[in-house]
Amino acid sequence: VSTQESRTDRYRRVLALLPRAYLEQRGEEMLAVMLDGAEGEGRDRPSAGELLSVLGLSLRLRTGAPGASPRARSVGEMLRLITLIGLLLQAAAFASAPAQLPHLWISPIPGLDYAANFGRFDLWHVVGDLSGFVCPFLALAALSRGERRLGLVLTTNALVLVSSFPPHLDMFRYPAGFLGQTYAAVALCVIPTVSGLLGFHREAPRVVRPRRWFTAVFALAVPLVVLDSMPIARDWALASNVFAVVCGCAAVGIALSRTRSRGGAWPAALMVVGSPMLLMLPESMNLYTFGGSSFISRLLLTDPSTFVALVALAVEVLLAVALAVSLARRLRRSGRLPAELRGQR
Amino acid sequence: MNSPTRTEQVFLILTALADRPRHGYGIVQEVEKLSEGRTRLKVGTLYGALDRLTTEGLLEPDREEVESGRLRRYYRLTERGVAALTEDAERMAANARAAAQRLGVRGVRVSGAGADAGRPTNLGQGPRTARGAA
Repeated sequence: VSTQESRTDRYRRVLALLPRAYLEQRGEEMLAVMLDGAEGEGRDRPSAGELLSVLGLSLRLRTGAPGASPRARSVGEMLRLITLIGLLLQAAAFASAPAQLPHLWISPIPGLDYAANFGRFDLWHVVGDLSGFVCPFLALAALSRGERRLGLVLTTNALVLVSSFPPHLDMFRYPAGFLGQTYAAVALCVIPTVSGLLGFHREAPRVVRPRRWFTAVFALAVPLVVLDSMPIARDWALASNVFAVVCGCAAVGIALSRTRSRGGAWPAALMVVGSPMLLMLPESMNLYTFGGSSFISRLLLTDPSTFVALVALAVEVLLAVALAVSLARRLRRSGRLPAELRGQR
Repeated sequence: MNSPTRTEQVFLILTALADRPRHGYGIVQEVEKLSEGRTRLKVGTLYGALDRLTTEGLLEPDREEVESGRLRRYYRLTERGVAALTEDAERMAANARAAAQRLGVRGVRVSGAGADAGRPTNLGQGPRTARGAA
């Protein structure tokens, strides 16, 4: 009897990995299946396969598999949104790679120096840059079409770029070594990949309105490729830095101002993806104040990229104001008591 | 509308429940038997699939029994589940016939392909007559 009890306890401990509500509903039934299987195979303890199987089910249930709680479904939706939004931003962040490559051979832009902007110029770096642009496109297409495994493999390309390709930490084409920028680059590569692996499990629901995502990636990346291929945008440090800060401000601003109207998953996903981009704000300010290539010196020299710098500054100021206003509104709203509570005071 | 492609495991679970309701471990045993030992369902995989198929309306709980202190919940196919399994089976049979026919051209005989092996088939477009209550 004691052997039977200890075996039962061991299996119960494995099943304790499941969410409590699910365990209450299914626990005894699953325990019976596991004990029947153990007796059939003459085992006294759960195998590694069984443990992994329950662990996998537990993770899937906590991220929105059928049978999960409404809260877990929201978490799953948020993780999938983080992945899709992150892939959009990755494609946009690497948009300068396809934009600038043709100029190496076809029509060199005066003053353009690929090596200076992209780190070292060799085939491996070029392939890495292009994969940083192409893989998010393909990953988004695959995930939208329900090709989960292919999409996740393509999504992990960003991790490969970060882990085995240190020069690509400089993905925003900004002088390397700035802490904020490095964090932002790593976050943009790591967060969507990890979210994808957790959120796009085999029981995950299909992506809603898949065509919109694919349209969005074109709408965001193609104009950036065109813009980056123009001589006026040859200062990629500026353009890419601005891109990241603008996206970060916009994402966080929308997240703060739309918490009620867009449901819980969207604002949370925008906040998670957008916040690391804001780490670049201090570096963005540096860009306008330091060095021979600064905004101020360009302004004095009437360099063509002065226009870009002006637009960038205007956009960033506008977004910073919008962000501050939305934050203030949110704080005011959260401090306001409901009418019924005010009456009780 | 095309039905989603179901995995072999899910197809086997539906097949295991085609003749009568079974409980969890009964499904595991039947799937192993049907697949000639190739597929042994782990409990996490089984219950993930049961939850999904129940949500899709292809399965439903039948009854509960307690044997030797162990709870056994039985599951059965719904009408929709029967229709889905029929559709899958017909599509796979059509594919198998087509493969057997093509292999026959090379002089290879496929065991179990049946007398229909030589007939022309509509590869990948199973008959659409058996949707039933779906």
